[in-house]
Amino acid sequence: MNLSDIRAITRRPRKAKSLYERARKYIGAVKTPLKPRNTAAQAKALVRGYVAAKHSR
Amino acid sequence: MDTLPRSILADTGPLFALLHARDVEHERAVQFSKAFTGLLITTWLVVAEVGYLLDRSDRRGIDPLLGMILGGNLAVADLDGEDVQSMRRSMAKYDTMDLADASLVVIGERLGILDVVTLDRRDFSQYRTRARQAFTNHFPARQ
Repeated sequence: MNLSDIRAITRRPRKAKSLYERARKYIGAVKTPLKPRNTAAQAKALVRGYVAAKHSR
Repeated sequence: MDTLPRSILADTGPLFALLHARDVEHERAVQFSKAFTGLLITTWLVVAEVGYLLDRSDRRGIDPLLGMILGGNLAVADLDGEDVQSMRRSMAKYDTMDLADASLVVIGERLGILDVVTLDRRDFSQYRTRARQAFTNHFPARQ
């Protein structure tokens, strides 16, 4: 969308409904568990866990 | 929450959190969406980032994102050559600024919108427009 179109939309009267009411069917529509985002942090946690277990023996 | 402005720039984190019910920031994103009656504005670079994150979770998750755009709930601003030049300047100035952040800063400058929703509080508190104006983050803070 070009910026002049966006400027025109932003000058229109404010909508009475909230974003939540307008986009209700999309909000929270994705429910699948998240896959690990940071595998490096996970690897670190695994190593720490392994070291901790080794020392506690 | 204070009265929100009529137009707000949307970064990747809040958009993803709004669509994904299991994201840790989802409740705060919902809180924002219930208080906001204006227009959310973003760029295709941000849409690509949100799409990438949704795709990692569930390929069909991209559909609600596209639905938000088609339904007029999320305006996606185009970038031109002048914007790309400005992005290049901004990215040279800030070490942590990525392409998506740079595109939001440039679009904010062009539209005169200094209001943003982002999870990237630290970086966005440092970014300034060419006129040295700061951005205000309206994403609800953790209690």
